[in-house]
Amino acid sequence: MSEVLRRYGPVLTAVIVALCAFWVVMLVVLPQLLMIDFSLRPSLPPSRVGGPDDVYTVQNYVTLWNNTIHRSIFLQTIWASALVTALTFAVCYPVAYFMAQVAKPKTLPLMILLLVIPFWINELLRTFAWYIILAFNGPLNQALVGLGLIDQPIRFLGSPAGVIVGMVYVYILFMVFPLYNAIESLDRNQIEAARDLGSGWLRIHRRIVIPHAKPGIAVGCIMTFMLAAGSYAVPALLGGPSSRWFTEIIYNWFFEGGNWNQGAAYAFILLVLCVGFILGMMRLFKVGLTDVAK
Amino acid sequence: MTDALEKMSSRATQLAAKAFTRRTLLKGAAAAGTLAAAGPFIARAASGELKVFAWSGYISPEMLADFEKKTGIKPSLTEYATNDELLNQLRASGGAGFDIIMPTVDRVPNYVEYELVQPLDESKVKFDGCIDSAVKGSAGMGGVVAGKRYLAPSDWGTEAIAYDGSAANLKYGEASYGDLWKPEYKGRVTVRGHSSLIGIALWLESQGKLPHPVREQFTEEKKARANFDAIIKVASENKASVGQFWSNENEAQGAFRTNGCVIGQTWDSSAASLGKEKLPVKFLAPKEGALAWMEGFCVTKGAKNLAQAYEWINWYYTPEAGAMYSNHTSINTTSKGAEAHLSDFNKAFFAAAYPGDALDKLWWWPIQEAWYVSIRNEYQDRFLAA
Repeated sequence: MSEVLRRYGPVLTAVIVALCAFWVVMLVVLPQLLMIDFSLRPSLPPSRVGGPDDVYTVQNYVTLWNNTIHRSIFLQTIWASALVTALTFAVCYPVAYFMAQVAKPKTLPLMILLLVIPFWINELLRTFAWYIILAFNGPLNQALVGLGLIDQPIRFLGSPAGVIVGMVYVYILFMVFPLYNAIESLDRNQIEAARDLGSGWLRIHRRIVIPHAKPGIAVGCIMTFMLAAGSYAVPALLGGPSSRWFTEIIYNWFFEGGNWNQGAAYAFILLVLCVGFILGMMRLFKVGLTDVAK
Repeated sequence: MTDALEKMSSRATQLAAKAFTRRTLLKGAAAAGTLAAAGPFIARAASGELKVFAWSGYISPEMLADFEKKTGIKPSLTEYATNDELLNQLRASGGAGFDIIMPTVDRVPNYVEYELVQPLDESKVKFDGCIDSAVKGSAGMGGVVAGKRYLAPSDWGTEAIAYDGSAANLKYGEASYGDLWKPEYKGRVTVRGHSSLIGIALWLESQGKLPHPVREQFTEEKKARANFDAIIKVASENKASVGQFWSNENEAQGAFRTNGCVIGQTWDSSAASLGKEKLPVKFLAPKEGALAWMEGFCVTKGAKNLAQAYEWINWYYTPEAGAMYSNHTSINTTSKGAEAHLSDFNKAFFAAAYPGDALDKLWWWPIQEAWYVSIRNEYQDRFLAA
């Protein structure tokens, strides 16, 4: 703190602190507190708000516990988000490794450009593109039938596979760049030394590259997991009843059931349990918060 | 009477033309100068703007242009896809941000309960431009709450059976809500979660397999649960038939257009839009009666442009505006005299959809109160998860 004061002077320091406080209090803490307050009250019409029925209750949380459908959708969401994270990692790791260690400095900008260009298009539009590709009468089915690989078109939309493919595609960048940053800082001599000492490529990755890139992997996985678990657009467009996402249940409470208090309780539980899940995973893989902050 | 009026007015015009001299022109110019100096204050009273929040696909650009041309008011349009989206959007803003909205009549009591709309000043609405039966009928369906009128009816339509004529052949009088669940359509049916449960309810009721009459489940929670328990059993058994669930116009059309569905319970507008694109999709009222709804205009509690909102309603209650709406959406307008301006496609679509006594058998949605909507939502959830 005194370091900041010395460097920027009292006026600028006050401005920086005020802006940070505004950000944390007005945009993070207050909305969350409001949501928690909402989640602990029953849903009432305006005429009865503040009346005798307007008391604090944990009923909204009990509802989730008692509703077996929502409980299983919640677990499914966590599981599917973990799967999305793992698949995104599997797709991105080779790409990031290639970019960081193998690609020539000349071709690197081109590769990054090719990765980034699709992301100049809005996420919703890219998801709609998948909707068209995966549709029952869509090009993918037509191609598969045309090649004689299947007799009848497959219903990709509405299946968990459709949602997972859509999500892996949407979140690739959030995984590639943290991985690239981490792998890029690895001295190439270490890899060559390992090879000279007779190590196979699998062992090089397992013993040298991955441990070095651990903070980057953690950041990429946390971002992908949180985005996947909190995603609404992709499951709403590509999903169906057999692949419902917990966010859709929250949306449903707000925009179809009209019970905002119940929705707030669900949203808060999703937040708490996702954070808990991530902290648990970080402990399991022995990643500290300080590593991630690097 | 009208002739006499016309003569009088043309006489007045002639008199005015004769009295039009250079001097009056100068006077007029001076007056115009003061008007211009007075600036936007006077201009605003004469024109102004209007914020319309309407169902997606309802209000065409031509309609907006026509309204602006005829009234001088600049409308801006925002769209929503479901009743609940509209309700909860307005709840978030406390009934402000828009001047005029288009809820379904049976949901209007929800808006009154949440204090989001204001009673209409009936002296300002030209109800003689609206079909009488719609005005009268809407009163008992939710348009009038506690003696005050909140809704000016604008249109009515149905949810019935849409089918691909090349894959299914339905005849009026035989076609039923139960046809959706025939084995030959397995995996190729599209329905909306909550309203398909009512379709099943009517089908079960016609066979005497429902514990209580369908209408009574809208009035009492115990009956609602008893009925829904019976309905959900049939619905779950047939879940494998459903190829795609829809919840808005876009998804309902997508089910037929790209997702291989051949039959479904959809809105009339969905089938009509597909038909206009020359897809072989037809629309027919089942023998249990098509599910009929009525919508209308409500003025929001926080409306900033009150006078303009009434201008909008009165503009809509002209035959031309009503016909423009019907030709665009293929939903039936309540504006009097619009029939004369309807397109041939619309006339043919309407005749094919409601043959025989179908119009007498329309099943009008009862008022859906907040407690019912929450139960409905619960059972829809169970259907989707089945």
